[in-house]
Amino acid sequence: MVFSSLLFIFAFLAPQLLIYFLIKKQQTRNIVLLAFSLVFYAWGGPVYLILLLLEAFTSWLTARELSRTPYGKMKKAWLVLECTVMIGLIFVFKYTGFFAWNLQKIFGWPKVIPEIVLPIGISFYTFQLLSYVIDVYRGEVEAQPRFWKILLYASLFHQCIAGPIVRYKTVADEIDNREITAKDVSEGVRRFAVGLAKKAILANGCAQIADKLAPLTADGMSGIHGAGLWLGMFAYMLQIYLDFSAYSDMAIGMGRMVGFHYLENFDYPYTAGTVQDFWRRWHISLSTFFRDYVYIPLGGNRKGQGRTYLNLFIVWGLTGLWHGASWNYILWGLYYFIFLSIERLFLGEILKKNMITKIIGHIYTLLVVFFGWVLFRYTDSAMLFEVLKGLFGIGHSFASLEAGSVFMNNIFFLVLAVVGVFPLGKKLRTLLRRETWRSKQLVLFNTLNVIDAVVPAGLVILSVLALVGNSYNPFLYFQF
Amino acid sequence: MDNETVQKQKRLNLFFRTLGIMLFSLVLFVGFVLGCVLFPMRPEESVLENRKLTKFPKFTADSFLSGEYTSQVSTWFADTFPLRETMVKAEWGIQNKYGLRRDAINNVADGDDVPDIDELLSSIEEETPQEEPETVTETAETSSQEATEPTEPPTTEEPETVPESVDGEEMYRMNPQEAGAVNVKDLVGYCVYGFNRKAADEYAVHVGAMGEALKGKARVFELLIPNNSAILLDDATKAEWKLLDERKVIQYFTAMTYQQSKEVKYVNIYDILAEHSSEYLYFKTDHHWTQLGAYYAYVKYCEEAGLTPHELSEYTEVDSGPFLGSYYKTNGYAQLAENPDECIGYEPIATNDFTFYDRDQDKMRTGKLVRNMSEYDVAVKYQGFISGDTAYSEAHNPNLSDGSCCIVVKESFGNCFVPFLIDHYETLIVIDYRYNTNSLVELANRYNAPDIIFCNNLEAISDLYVMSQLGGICY
Repeated sequence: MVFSSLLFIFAFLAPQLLIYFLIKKQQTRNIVLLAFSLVFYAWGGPVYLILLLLEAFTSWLTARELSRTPYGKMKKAWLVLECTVMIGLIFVFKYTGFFAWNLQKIFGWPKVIPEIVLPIGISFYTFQLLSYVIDVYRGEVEAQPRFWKILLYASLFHQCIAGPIVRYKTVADEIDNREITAKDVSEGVRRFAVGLAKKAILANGCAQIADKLAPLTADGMSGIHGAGLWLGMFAYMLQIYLDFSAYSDMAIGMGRMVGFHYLENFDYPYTAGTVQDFWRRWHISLSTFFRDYVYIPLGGNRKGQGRTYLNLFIVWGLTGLWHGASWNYILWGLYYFIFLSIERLFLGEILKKNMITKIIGHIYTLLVVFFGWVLFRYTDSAMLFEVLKGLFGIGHSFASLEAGSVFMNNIFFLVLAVVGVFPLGKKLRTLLRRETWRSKQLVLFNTLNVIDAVVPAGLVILSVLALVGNSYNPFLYFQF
Repeated sequence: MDNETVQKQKRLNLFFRTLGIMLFSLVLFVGFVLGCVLFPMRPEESVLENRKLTKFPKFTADSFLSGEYTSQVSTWFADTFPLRETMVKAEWGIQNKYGLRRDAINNVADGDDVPDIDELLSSIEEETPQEEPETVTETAETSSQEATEPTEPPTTEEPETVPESVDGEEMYRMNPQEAGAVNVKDLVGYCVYGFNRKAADEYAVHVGAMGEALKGKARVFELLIPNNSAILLDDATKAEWKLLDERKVIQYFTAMTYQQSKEVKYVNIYDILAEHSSEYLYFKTDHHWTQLGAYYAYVKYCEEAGLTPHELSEYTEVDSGPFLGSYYKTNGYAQLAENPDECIGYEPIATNDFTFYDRDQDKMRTGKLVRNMSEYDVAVKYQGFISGDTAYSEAHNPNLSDGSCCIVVKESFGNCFVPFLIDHYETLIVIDYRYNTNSLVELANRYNAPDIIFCNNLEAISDLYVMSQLGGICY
């Protein structure tokens, strides 16, 4: 089940919220959340529920043992066991095919590449459970004595299949003690509605433009043009942010409605002035996971320059691999390693010098990210090469009737999508509220209150219209 | 600001927060009731998109465990959501405001090159097909054919249900309307045709085979309908969109057919359509031609077949009102709603009644050759011509008893062409080869010297699968 579906909104979320708020007792509410979460996960294939249960049980058991074991070899052994099981499972389900394919290319073995279906959300909940156990090992969080609460943490439908990767310590206290205020619910509703509209209206609309102008099929390659590719990839650049951040918005919103406060996962990444800044703002829960559980344990930047770059290389290779079992994702990760290394060596400082270099920095970052998305989008190297050539008008003409037509036909929509990518709306809202309050213009202030009250419901209605009339509703995270 | 005002405003803030939550809850509640309670309101067909909507899936353990079942339930839930049509229309209205949406030049022609016709023709120079019929010994109108047996549908088994006087109303909702690449210019949709040489060659083989198989037993005519872009667009636009010269394409088709059989008579309708290009020959929002366009083709056919065509003024005009066709509803060019078509038909003189078998060929229904569709949805007006695409249709002219027969082998473009023919033949049979697999030769042999017309649009026959379907009735 995906958030941006009528089934989820009306047949799942609506009854879930109704039942949840009819119940007053916290523990019972948690049981309701768990039950709904398990149904939500099982909807995509009940078989994989076993995997989720197994991972949660292993992590719960390991963490419990870790909390009882004093520091020493035994404690490390428990941690190694957890990491082996978790990484082993993710490897089996996500990477077996990829490695078998590579082995076959190099050694001609195996003859048959196993086709293993990737369980939805495995990369998210596995990382969540790993972070929980490691945090228990480090003594940063208490082990949870009740298995079902760890299962609730891992399976909570808000973030189970598309993130953010919520740390246990973020919600540990709230699982047992959370208060729900009108402000929480109201903010949650607004955040969910904004996320839903971002996905159903903006991201899906951008996806249609992207798929039309930057096709993903070999057949479509024959008709590509430079201008079309630029516009198509621009639309993809908008789509991937709007889509991904929309899921995080919806997750954060739904969490807030029931009293959970998840951390932000995106912070307007396209406003970044450097590539490093971009990664501080993009999929923050994943970047911080790799920082805290890979980069720093490897020594971070404390073991000399050579080791620092090696650590960065490993982290960015893994970041790429996390996004999908294909060489293009690894290359995409390493592509960022190159730019991050260059910035670390000298460019980062130069770009911060003055206003002009800062502007150049923004342009440079957007271009790096743009070409990064080209790498990310095309898993087939021949198609990738063709698109890169096409972007520069090599082998394909640059002018495109179609691009001009699509642009003119969607010009207002694209402007709206660009506005959705930047914090303009958020800043304007804050500014207007603050200024009308300061200047005691209560009529205007309350007009803003009315708008605030009406907008979420309006956005949900508009999103539903978009979802009903549009069968084009891609879910980007199946590969994660 | 004094404390009392601040406290009052805080209460107001809380009120507005609560209001927001209530409004959101109301939307969810209404959606819940619509989606989960009001099951009878769930539509089964989409008039707007002209398709049957997803059915609730059957439960099997395998499909459940694989997630297939739940995935299908999700699709069913969204696809049959109550008030779906209203919401889809509203969404199209919104999408129409996405930009300065007037023209939509999304395509340039993409397809095979047409082989050099001059070269091809010179290679068969001696055998160039003539536009005039060779020797018409007797016309259908003057033939003294024996009265045939009461006609039967071309099925080998009797249908379980005997011809039933059921109006084919529901058929108007089920026929697919599809168009390929489309551009929009000045609020008119145009087909961007791509030539498929393999399909063209296959077409020629099938039609040629019929010419040979029915040699001496029937006259076989070939009528190729150009796309609206070929007839209506100026040369500059054609060049900009890299459109092929469809006249050359038709020449290729006929030359290839002629290579297969000299018995097939080509009816050139391109020129007469081009002469009348300023008239309303093609719909603006749909890929079909209008019945006026089909009328000129009929005039040309009569010329070739030795018949005397009726004047347009002799027919009763049937105005079905505004029409928004496939370019609007399937290709999604919502801006075309600003320039809707008017669907005008011409009721045949001899009779307007006919019977037909639907695609399942299990039930005979009655219908009108040209029906007034003014009370039907704006999207389905073209289905007023012979009740849309059906497997087999048959009409009888009560004023003739000469045994004359015409069999039209067509795709949907033929629908508005065939009503004109009933005034010239005792029996008119229409075969849509996409839904009928019975032998054309066997059918033709049941009648005395029938006229057989292959009536097809170039775009419709540029698909290899469709050509394999044509082949299915030819052997």
